[in-house]
Amino acid sequence: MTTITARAPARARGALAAEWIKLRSVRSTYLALAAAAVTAIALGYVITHYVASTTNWATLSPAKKANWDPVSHSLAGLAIAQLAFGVLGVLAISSEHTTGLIRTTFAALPRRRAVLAAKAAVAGVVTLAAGELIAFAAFLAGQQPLSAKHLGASLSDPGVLRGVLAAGLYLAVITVVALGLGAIIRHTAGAIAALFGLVFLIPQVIHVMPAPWDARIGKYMLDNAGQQMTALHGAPGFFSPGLSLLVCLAYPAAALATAGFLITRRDA
Amino acid sequence: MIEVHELTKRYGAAVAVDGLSFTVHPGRVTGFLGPNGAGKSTTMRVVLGLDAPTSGRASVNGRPYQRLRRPLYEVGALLDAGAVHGGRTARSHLLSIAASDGIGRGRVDEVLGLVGLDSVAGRRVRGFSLGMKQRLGIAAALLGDPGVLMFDEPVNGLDPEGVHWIRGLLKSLAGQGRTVFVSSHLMSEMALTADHLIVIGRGQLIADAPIAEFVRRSSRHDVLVRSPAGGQLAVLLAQRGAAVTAETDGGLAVTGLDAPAIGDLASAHHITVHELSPRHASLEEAFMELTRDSVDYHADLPAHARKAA
Repeated sequence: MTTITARAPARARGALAAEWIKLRSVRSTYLALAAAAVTAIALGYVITHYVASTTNWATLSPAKKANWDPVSHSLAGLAIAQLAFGVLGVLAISSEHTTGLIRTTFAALPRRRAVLAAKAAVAGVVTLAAGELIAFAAFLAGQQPLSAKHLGASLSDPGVLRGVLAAGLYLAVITVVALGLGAIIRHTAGAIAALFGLVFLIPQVIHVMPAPWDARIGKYMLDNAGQQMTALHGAPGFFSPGLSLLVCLAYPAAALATAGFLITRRDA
Repeated sequence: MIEVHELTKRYGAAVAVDGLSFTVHPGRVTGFLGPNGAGKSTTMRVVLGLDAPTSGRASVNGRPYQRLRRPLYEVGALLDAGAVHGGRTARSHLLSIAASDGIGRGRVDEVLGLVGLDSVAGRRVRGFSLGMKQRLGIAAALLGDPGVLMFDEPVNGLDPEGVHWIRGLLKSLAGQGRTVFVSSHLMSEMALTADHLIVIGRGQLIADAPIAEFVRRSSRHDVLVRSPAGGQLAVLLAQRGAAVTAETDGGLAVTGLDAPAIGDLASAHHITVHELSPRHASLEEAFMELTRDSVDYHADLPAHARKAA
């Protein structure tokens, strides 16, 4: 018993080290993060530029002024950039299944849940760091055209820092959910399709439902919860940023729990 | 030491391994032979704890694989040389495996040298030939300097120089007292490498014997005789105690008398002989004979070729 417990930290360290080497030794990691950064920053800038050129604060209605959200405008590109993070998460495990490398991995580390946990930890930490960098960069870039017309926000304004931090965190959440889907489905294309359905299709279906059902169901959707914890002004009927954060975190937890349940019950 | 006991593995209705038991001992190369689809790879996956057996068990050094404390130091395995991420360099591939059990960069460079890949260590695996990937897979198996080695079809895709290298490597690993378990569907390859053979077909054990005994037990030797007076000669041969079987094309397969004796006999009776050729069934043919009933798909051979086998 003592030997087993003594080995546990070494094994966790080994699993983490192995996954860290794997993640940084393939080009797809850098490509995905670069694609996400370019998409998020460029799209955010184009959108805020358009918004700035078509909006005149003086003539805005009081209702629109009250709901003015320069943060969400500048982070709009993240809605597309999240796909690149999702692909990164899926590939972190599905590439091992499609090549058969997973057998080598499991032979070296027969405790499969430790492998899954290490993959989630490494991918989660790396994409959290990258996600925050991208969120801040997109925010700062997007505020340029807005600020020129006094429509922008600064990080010291109420709710702004929270919103930008939440947007970065959301990208890491998507990555880990995608990793879980990759472990469950074990095919790259299938897992990416499932992720697409989860963050694009299902929210669209719920969005067209009649009120109040769109919000009653929608507030539990990952995509909406992500928006609610980022937005400066919460939409009526949806959760607060704090509760939305919990909804967001429930998704990777559920995906990893399901993957962890299946991973020891299936042949590699 | 690898032990497989009453192992059965079903995939749905298909039985891949069916009540298989054998032991692989250290200090010699044990060949694991069987036609494609016989259950060799499945057995190896179960030994490595990758597939769960339907019933029965497998163990390495007396313990189930999952219970090994540091698997890389006990067992090295090459299952599929293609199981690599094409975008990763050979060194990164090995570093990631090594890191999972705290094996350092020095050992990675050492095994790269051992398999002769040191000059391409920094290249992406995508550009590797199958032979280079086999070498990379063997390097990975050697990382922990394990006492048990398991290779699934390691000579596939290797050039003659590579095949020669593998043979030497397997023998030297066994010579160091390690357990070496190598699968193949080629008897001719095993004849040159293995000391001991475990033969399976349709998931069941067919033979488990030293290769020398295998050769003695399975090989057939006879003499093919063709003569315009075949019937007369057959009677004379039978009188001398030889066993004579008529081939479908008119030849006689004779056992119990060697070629010179048959020639002398024919000459003494003024019988013309058109052909007199000693035939030795090769190990390959012996293997085909042994596993014929357990091959799932085989091309129909002409009748005389079957006879020769």
